Amino acid sequence: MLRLIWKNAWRSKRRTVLTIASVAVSLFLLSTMLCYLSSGEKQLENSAGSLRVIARHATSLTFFLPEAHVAKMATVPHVTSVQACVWWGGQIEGMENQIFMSTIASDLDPLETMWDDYSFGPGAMDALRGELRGAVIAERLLAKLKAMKGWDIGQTIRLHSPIFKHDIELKLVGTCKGPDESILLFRRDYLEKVQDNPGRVGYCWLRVDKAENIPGVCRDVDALFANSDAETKTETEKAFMATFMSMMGNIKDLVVNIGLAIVVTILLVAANTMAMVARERTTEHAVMRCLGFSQGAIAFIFVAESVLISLLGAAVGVGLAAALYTPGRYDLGGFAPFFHMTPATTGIGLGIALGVGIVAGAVPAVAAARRSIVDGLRRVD
Amino acid sequence: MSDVLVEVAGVTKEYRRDDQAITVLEQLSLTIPRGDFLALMGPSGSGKTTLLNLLAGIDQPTAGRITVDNKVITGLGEGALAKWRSRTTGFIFQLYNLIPVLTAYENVELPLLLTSLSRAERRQHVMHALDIVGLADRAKHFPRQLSGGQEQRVSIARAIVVDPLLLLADEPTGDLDAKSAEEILTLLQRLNREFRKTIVMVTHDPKAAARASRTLHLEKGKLVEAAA
Repeated sequence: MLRLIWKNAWRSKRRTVLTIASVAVSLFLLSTMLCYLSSGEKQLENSAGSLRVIARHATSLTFFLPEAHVAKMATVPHVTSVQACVWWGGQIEGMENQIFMSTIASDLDPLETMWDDYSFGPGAMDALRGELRGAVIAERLLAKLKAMKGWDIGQTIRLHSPIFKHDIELKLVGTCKGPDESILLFRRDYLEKVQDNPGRVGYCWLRVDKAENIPGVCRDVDALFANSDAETKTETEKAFMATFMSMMGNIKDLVVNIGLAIVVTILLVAANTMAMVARERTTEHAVMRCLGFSQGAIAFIFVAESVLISLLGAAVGVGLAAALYTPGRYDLGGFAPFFHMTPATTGIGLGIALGVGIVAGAVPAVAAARRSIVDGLRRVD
Repeated sequence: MSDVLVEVAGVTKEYRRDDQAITVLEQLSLTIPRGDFLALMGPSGSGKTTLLNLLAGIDQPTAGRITVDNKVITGLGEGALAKWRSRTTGFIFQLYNLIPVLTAYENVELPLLLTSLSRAERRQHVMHALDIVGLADRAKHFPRQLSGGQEQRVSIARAIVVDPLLLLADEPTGDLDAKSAEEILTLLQRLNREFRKTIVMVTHDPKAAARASRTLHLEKGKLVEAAA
């Protein structure tokens, strides 16, 4: 029976190859989108178990908080440390659209305890403490920029920012490794100096002693600055990440909708193929039923052929995606650090192919099985 | 075991076209003994093929009853009929109707896929059937590599491979040249005489009918003449 299904699938080689190619291209695109979505999910998942909360201006992340808030936040019960940061948004002249860097000016002291999911290269933190213009760069970002610009540790680099008017010069003093592989950290006191000490911070990370105290800390911090000139909005790292991602627009919905359109397209292509096949084999189905094949057997053979073609397309499309999108190979300029195929995304791709095969084959299969044998035999191809 | 293999009792078959009922067979009764080689003749539209289809269990009569080997097949469900067909009947078509992507061997093996026979047992049956029709050496050939007469012989091998009680042939020589037609008729005669197969053959050709042991004529859905 399997031999018949395989041979049936290759009766019209050109049509089968074209159908497989359509399914493969579509599923490759779908897999690409799924990688993007799963990267975002992974980022959120990574931040879910964190003891960090973030306090920012209640109006928007683009508004600054007074530096005085930092010391007050440290007095809130269950807060073990506070780290003030400024998102500087550094860019390299002429490579603005090629390289994304999370360029952050940060307080030094709570850095290592706050970010215990990061590891810093040997001597990196000491070098940073000893050099006002010092900067620590993520290993992967450095590797990329080494290849593109020849950057290396010890080198002085010049960056500009779309947010701030001053350019800055930084000296690369060490590397770090952690979930964000596009990070470039430098000292906030240096930024203050460059800007003539405005005494403002972009946001503050607060570390809480226990997970169960996180909601209380968020509430207390916001209460502390209620009715002030700079009210705060304090939330968990996961909630912040979700908000940050939503600032890029509703990309998730867009991706999901495009993904659905792709699935419908595959379905139409596969269904069209199977409808043609059913029409061509009307007499054969009648003959097979004459020989004793039941309606169910005819429907099974037909659906199995549809599933086979669909899965061959998936093997090519999803397989290519799995071969290309390996961990660490692509990160979409740092926006999607976990952009790679996972068992789940592979499973979804194969599952969709299986579903498409069944649905595309089912309607013509049922019609073929239900057609009267006499009508089928009467038909002249 | 009764000597009668097939009993057709008061069978009527009507088709509906829009609101109009067209009677193809009307109150038809006949019996076919075991080992009979019956030719059904008659003009186009006389109901020959319809009767053959009813005997094969691929169509149901509007009224009446058909019994084959003491089993009433009228009123059986589609699943039961499919199982019954796979064990009881072999069908030979005018246009052979072989599956083009399967070899002669695989085409003949097709009905055996519905049985619980092992691969080795299936092979034994298929090669025996191909040997009977004289095509054992063409087992690996595809239908397009065979002549019309050879294709029809493969079709006959496919019909007899399950050792059915009843062979039904719908104009088996209708698409063949005279020489090939002679070969097919000789083969059918051999299956009837040597292997005691009961055969019902629809034909327009008096020469073909002459090879049967008896001929029935149908006209406007009724048996009008019986010749020994």
